[in-house]
Amino acid sequence: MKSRRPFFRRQKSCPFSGVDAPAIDYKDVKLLQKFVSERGKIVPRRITAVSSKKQRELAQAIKRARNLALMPYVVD
Amino acid sequence: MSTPPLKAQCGSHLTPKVSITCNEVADVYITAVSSGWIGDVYPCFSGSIDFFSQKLCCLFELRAIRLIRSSEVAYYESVFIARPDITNVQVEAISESFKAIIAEHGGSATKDEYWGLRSLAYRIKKNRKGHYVMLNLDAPASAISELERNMRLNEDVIRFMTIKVDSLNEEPSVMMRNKTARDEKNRRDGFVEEQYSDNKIVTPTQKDQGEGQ
Repeated sequence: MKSRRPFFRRQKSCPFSGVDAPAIDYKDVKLLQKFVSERGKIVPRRITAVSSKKQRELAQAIKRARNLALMPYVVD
Repeated sequence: MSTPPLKAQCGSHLTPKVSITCNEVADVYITAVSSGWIGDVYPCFSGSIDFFSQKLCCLFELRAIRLIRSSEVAYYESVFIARPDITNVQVEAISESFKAIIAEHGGSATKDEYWGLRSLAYRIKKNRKGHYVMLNLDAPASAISELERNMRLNEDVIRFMTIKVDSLNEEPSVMMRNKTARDEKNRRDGFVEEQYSDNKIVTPTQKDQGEGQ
């Protein structure tokens, strides 16, 4: 009989809260790039563990970067 | 309106007090004049603006007074993309002309950054590249609308965006930092293309799967 270890979800913390957390800025493309999928879509926060407040800021920043052609709207 | 003239009422309550920033006084004066009470509003009110407006409202029922903040300056960041087939000198000239517009309307450009000829993430007006320039502005809203109007008219500007920010950062932005870092790296490596390698090292953990049977 094979008993499996109970499912354990690791505690995730928001990457933008904390002492030395990076500031969300539309100019920081390298940072924003981590929060979009390969298709260029914004990754939901249930996956990235970003807090809801920061997710809204992040979405705003990504959309600004897209407008300035710093990031793509779609990747084909 | 049955409201008595402002001057008479002001005297007793507000004259003995001192100092408020002139913007706010000027605004109140403008609104008072435009709403028909041409009285003398002495520039000698006191306390914070909250205290001031509260007092005015409750004492004189000046509900019509709205504190128009039009003369107030705010901080903005303006980025524009210029066509790739113009030279650096021309880009410089464009940004100078924009700065002149701002200065004309009583604002100032505290910083300008040239991010260089960057490739665009998608095509804009059939261009694949563009000169990026960012201006940090400390200017009234009228200057910004004039600036944006000129950006819209200018054929060399293919895209622009102006956003209001809480504070202006005096240090070079991320773009400039990246640019200088990249330049230095290129100089060191003799202009070798940067290699983006995937650092995902997948370590096979066979042991974990058979655990806890």
